[in-house]
Amino acid sequence: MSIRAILEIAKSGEDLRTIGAVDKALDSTLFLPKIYAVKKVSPVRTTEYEPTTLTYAHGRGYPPMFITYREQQYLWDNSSMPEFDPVRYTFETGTETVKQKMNSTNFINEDCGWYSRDHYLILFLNPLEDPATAPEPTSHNSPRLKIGEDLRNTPDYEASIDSKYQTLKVHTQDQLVCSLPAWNSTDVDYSRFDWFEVAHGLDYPPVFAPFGVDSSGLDLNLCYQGDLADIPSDFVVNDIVNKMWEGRNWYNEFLNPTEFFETLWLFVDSSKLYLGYRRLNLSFGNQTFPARTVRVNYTIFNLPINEEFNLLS
Amino acid sequence: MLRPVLYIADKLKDVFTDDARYRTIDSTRNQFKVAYSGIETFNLNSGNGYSYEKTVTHNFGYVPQVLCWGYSIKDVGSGVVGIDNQLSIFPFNDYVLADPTKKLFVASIDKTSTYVKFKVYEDNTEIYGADPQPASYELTGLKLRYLIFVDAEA
Repeated sequence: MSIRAILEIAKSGEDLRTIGAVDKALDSTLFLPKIYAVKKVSPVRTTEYEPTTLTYAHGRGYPPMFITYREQQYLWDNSSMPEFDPVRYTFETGTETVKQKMNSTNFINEDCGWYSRDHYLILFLNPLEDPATAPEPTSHNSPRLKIGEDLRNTPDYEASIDSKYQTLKVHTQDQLVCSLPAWNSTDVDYSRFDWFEVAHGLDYPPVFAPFGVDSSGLDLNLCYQGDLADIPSDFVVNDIVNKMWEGRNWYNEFLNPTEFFETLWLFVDSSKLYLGYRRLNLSFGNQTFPARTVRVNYTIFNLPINEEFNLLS
Repeated sequence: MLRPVLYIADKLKDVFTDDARYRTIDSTRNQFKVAYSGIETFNLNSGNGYSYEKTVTHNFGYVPQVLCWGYSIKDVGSGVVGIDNQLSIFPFNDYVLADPTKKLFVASIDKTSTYVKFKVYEDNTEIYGADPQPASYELTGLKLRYLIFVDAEA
């Protein structure tokens, strides 16, 4: 039986002899996804009112894992909506009908919106699908910590730890609690935004979670397939991120299922994390939107969204 | 009390004088670690009710962070729905031809303190006023790729 060396480092205040995996800052028995690049991808618009495309040839020969953030000066890239100064960044998945897609050659978005600004790709060395021919391990020409099996003959992404690459290092985790007051909307005062914020303590817009609340916002009517009293008075955003996509057909199932809409967004900029909440009354009458407590469990990573690098170059 | 630390910097960066974001390894910070990962290949057809689920039981006692990517759909001609073998990040929907005469394709994740469930299915919702109602489509060779971190959401 061969003996395998491992590296374990406990989080501050924890005892390595008694803790589980969640309380270890580093644990070479588990692999760290390796970030090799952050790449700005700018939209290409050939004619007005036509789809705007994003394309990036990543050069890996296999589709790498990725997450994307999108820069916005205005909500929905719409100059009639709230303006952000400085610009803000939101997680991005693509539109309802046009996804962001990764293949073995390119990252592609065939329609990112008429007025879309830059997107930022966080690229992982780890493959979404194994390549037909595994890449060779790379050199570094700098002090390096690499932990894994058969390090001389396997791709870098097979190592559990490789200090050549960036990782998702946690700066802070907490819960943002947003107390939304009740609001008496009318046919004149029919749209309201409430913004909540927390300083993240970094001087750049950081990669953040929850993953999945994208630039189109989280439609609470779809999440709960209802309105007003159907939406809980106290809820956690993380619990419902996926529900919107499961409830998409609710608008198609009924003719005019609601006239009272509630949507939320998550953004970061160079100083804060924001939750924006919009309530919209399209009934042309009066309606009281109830008070709510909206909670989001967030993670701020020690990695700028908008600072390009490539650790393979 | 002094605490040992492990810092490793980006090439050409100094662990002490450059900003902490240039450390690739920093034992004073938690680094997200993958507890479970996998690639699943599956089909949607009449045999499984056009629905697929992959459940990974973790029993962490808390909700972990999760990432997942998967194939979507596309029009392969003549209104026939086929597989788009490029990977998109979960959660997402897809329509073919932006038309509800084909069922909505749903890619979603359920996360609990004991399991994570990856779901890909065709939505059976009856569409108001549609005649005929949305039709199902068979797909063979869909894929999804997941990472379940040992790290909690907060």
